[in-house]
Amino acid sequence: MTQSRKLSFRRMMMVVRFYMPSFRLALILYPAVSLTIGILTTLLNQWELGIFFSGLLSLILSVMLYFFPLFYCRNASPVVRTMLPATAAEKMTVLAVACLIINPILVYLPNMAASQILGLYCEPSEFLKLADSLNTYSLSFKSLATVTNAFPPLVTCMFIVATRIRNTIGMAIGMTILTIVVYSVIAGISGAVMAIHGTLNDIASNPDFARVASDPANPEFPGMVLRNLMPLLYTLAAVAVCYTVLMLTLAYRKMKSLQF
Amino acid sequence: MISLCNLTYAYRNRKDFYAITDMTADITPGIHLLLGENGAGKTTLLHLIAGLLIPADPEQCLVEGMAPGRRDPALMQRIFFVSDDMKFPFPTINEMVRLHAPFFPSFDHEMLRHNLETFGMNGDEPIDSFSLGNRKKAILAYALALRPDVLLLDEPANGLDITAKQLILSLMSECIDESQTVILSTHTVADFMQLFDSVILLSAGRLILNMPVWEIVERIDFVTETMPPADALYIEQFFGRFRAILPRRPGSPLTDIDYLLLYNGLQNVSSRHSIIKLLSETDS
Repeated sequence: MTQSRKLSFRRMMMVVRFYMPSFRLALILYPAVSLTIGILTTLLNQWELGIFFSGLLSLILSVMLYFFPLFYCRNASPVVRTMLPATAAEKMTVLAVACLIINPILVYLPNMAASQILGLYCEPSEFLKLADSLNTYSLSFKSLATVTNAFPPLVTCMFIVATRIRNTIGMAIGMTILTIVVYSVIAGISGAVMAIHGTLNDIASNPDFARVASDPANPEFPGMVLRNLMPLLYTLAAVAVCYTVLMLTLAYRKMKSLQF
Repeated sequence: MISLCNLTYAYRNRKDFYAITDMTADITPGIHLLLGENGAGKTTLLHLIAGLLIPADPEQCLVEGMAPGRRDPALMQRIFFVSDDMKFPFPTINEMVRLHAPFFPSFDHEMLRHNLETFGMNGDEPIDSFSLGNRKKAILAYALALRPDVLLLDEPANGLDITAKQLILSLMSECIDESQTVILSTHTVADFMQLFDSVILLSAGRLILNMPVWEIVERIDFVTETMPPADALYIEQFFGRFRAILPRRPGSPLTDIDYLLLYNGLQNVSSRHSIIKLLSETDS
C-alpha cells in the first residue's frame, strides 16, 4: 500500500470541506425544523389529543433522519465524487460520520432541548403523563427502539446514494421505504406475538400478573408488556446493528470498485 | 505517459460484448485527438484512463506507472476528466477553487483567473444561472488551470458557439505545456484542427491508429484535385472535386493533415488496410 492510500486525516478534512456545500442546507434546515417541532410538540402535548398531532410531527423527524443521505448526492455527479483524489475509506468515513452521528444529533438534539426547556413551563396532559410513566419505566426500551427503528432505513438510504450512479434519488427513496415496511412488518408481527405470548405465560405462572392484566388501565400493565417485549427488542436492535455494519462494509467495498 | 497493454474491457451487463479489445499503445505527453465512430469505445477508453472503469487486470492500463483503476489519491490528483454531464456541488467557480482545487497540488490560480477573464467571467457568477455553453466554458477554464498531468476531454466543443470554440482553442494552446498528456475526444475535428500532436483512432473497440501527426504527413499526402488521382489509397468526391489520400510523393511539399479524410479513409474497410500498411511500412 502506497503512502497516499493510507487513511489521511488531512484528506478526510478536505473531503468534509468538499461535501460541505451539499450538506449546508441540511445543517441549517434540520436544526430549525427539529427545534420548531420540539416547541410545537411540547405545546400540543398540553391538550389531551395533542399526542396524535405530536406523533405526526415526530414522523417528520424520522423522515428527515432516514433521508439525510440524499444530501450527499445533491448537485455532485458520481463521476466527480469518484474521481475526487481521496481513498474510498476516507470518503466512506466522512459519509458514515455525517449520516450516523451528525444526522441524529441535528435531528434530535434541538428537539429534545426544546422539549426539556419548554417542559419546565408547560404541564403535559394526563394521557401524556401515563405515556411518560411508560417511558421512564423503561428508558432502555425507548433508546433501543430508536436505534432499531432508525438505523436500518438510514443505512439503506446511505448505501444506495454511495453506490448507485443512475436513478440514485428514486432508488434511495424506494429502497428506504421498502426497508421501513419490511422491518416494521417483521418487528410488528414478532412484537405482537411475543407480547401476547409472554403476557399469557406470565398470567399463567403468576397470579399477580393476572390481577394486573385484568385491568389494562393499571399503571403496572404497560411495564408488564414492555418486560415481555425486551428480549425481542434486544434481538431487533442486534439485527439492526449487524445490518448497519454489513451495509457499511458493502457500501465501502462497492464504492471502492464503483464503475460507470 | 499512459501505457495500455492488451487492454480489454467488457461491461458487466454485456459480458459477451467487448467495448475495448486487446488495445496496446503508449500515449506520450502531447495533445491527442481521439477519433472513432459512435460506440467505438472512445468514452470507455477515457473512463478506463480516468479510473472510472476498472479492467479485469488493472495493470493493463497504467498512467505514470500506476493503475488508475486502483484510484490511488497520488495518481487521481494528476488526472482530470471533463465530460458533458459533470455536476459540481459548488455554487460558483471560486467556491470550487476553495473546496475542490486543494486536492490538486498543481492548480494554478493565476491561470484560472486569466482563463475566466478570457470568457468574460470572474468566478463569482452562480454556476446554476449559466447556460450549458457558459457552464462548459467555466469548467474547461477550471480544468485547464488544475494543470493535471493527464487531462481527458470528452466532447469539449459540444454546445459551444464559434467564438467560444476559438477561445478554447487559443486557451488550450496557451495553457497546456509539453509535460501534459491531453486526450480530446470529438466528432467536430474542425474546431481544434491546429491543436493536435497525434491521432488515436478506434473502431469497434479496437485501436486502428496511434501516431503523431508529423509522422502521418511524412508518409501520406492529403490532396484535393479536380480529377481523381490514379494512385489514391482512398478517394471521395466533394462538391465536384476529389479529396484523396495518396502515398507520399517524394520531393513534394508536406500537405496539411485532413482529419476528416483520414477518418473516412480508415473507416472504409477497403482502404483501411492499405493506409495502415503504408503508415506501418514506412515506420519499419
